[in-house]
Amino acid sequence: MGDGVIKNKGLRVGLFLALAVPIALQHGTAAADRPTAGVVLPKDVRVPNDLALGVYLPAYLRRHAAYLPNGIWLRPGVALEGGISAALSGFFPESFSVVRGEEKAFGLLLDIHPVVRGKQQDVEVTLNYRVINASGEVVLDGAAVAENGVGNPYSGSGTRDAAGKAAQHIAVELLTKLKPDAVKYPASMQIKSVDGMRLVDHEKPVSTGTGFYVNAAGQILTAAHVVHDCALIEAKREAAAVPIRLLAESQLVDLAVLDSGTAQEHFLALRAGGHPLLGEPIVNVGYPLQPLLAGSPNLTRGNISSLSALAGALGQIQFSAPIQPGSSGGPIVSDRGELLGIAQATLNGSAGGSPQMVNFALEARYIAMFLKKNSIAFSEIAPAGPADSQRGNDAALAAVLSLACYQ
Amino acid sequence: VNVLLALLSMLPMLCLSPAHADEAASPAPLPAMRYYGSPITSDLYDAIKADPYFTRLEKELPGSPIVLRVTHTLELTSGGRAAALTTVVLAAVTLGIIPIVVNQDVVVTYEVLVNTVPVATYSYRRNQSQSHNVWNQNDKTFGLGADGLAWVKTTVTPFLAAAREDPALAALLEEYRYYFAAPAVADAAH
Repeated sequence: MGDGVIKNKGLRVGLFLALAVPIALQHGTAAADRPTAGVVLPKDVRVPNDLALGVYLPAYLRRHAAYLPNGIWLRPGVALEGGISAALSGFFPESFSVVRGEEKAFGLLLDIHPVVRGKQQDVEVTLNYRVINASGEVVLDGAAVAENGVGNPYSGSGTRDAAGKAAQHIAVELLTKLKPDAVKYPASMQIKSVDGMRLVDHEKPVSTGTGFYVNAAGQILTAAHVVHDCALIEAKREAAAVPIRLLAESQLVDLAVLDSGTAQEHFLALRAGGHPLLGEPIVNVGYPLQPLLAGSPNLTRGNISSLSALAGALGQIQFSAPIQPGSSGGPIVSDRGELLGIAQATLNGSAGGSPQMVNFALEARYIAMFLKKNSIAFSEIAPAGPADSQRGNDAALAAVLSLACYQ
Repeated sequence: VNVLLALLSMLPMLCLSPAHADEAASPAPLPAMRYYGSPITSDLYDAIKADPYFTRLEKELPGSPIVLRVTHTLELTSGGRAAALTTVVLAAVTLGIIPIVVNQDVVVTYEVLVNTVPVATYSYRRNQSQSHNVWNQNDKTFGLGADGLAWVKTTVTPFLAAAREDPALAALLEEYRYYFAAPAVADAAH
């Protein structure tokens, strides 16, 4: 056994039979686009139906993925979406996945929020759904539940087939109760016209982060990864959360600017023409670990620990004020109250050892370039007056707010 | 004499024209980016980096927000499922004398990601049948066979051609230049 090779032939045969046969059988699981037992259409309902059905699924489903170097992608969300899509296309050949930012028109919108649970040898998929018409009204809602054997865990066949079964039940409900067709519901809706509040699961945000005001018009700067793919973004300071609008984003510099639509007295101005100084004290304010931590801002202090970051990083500097998940988008402010950067990332343990307080921020000069490129007003101030930690703290605290992303 | 002078005056143009043609054919290189490949696709690195468009590709660039990820997947076809099921049973009954036959699509995918968000994706697919003997534990082709491995290498050429024509990558290069190609100039402008 020295080199990991099993020498005993009997044991090898046993292992082969134990592993190969079940794997082969798993490949033979039922496809999601075949009719499932218990799915019965009334006689007066004809399929295929010519309705242009838009199908909305939260974008995070497509992002959860892991790649095994032997050539296998683990994409449970994609498997689930594939099962839903295959099942619905059997009833509605004109159905398609709706992606925010695209303009393809549809007649009805099927808004699905899935929940997947493991149950011993089975997987259970619950599809919570709403059907929205061109007037923005919810004309049908409910939950469809289906189970399936786990199947091939690599391909997600069990999840795919369970999702397909549940989607078939939704299709039957939709056909039976609404009796839709392309004449009754012409393709006149676009995703941009659908109220985000109606679309999302508002009970729990997909992610949270931090932002801060950059001008008196109430425009907010944050990290792009905080708000990417959100169907609804809400900002909260002390009062109730309010929806805000994405104005521009750049993945390359990981920045996004949002519009609150409300004038602000307090905002952060960038340090004029100046770069941060190595070792200078800074303050970071953010709303990490929401909703685990209470909703008041977290203030941490540290210093500029390096004027560069990881090899290959673009425009980032390193700082030592502690940050946590949810701190992204928070300001890095000097003791004279000027904005020096925006928190974007931290070094985790995968780099080896136990990195401590190795955090990265985009330098303010790139923030200025981003704002100029997108015609967003901002101010600059030259360092003036005495450096005082309270001054930096007050400036940062007055401008920050928490952000929540919903899908 | 006039003809001779005319020819002499054209000489610099003639000398310069080949270099000029090369310059036109070779666009400015894309920004530095990190390469990630699976065991099968890691061999493609040198071929991609040899192209002037990807000359700034690096394997060790942990902080780069731009990544070229090249992965392969094996997708069983519906016919391949049936064949695999049948031959697995036969292989089991004959204690591995009869090999397992699998029909599958090999898919090689090139993705350019910016801070984990895909901005360009190119996929190449090939169907192939492979037989696997249960007693052969030393397959160094990762189940693809020599032909399959050779095919994977051929996907570099169409990928490079598609990448050069892709407006999404041209836009990425333009944005990179705005922020980072000449920071001193940008500072001065500001």
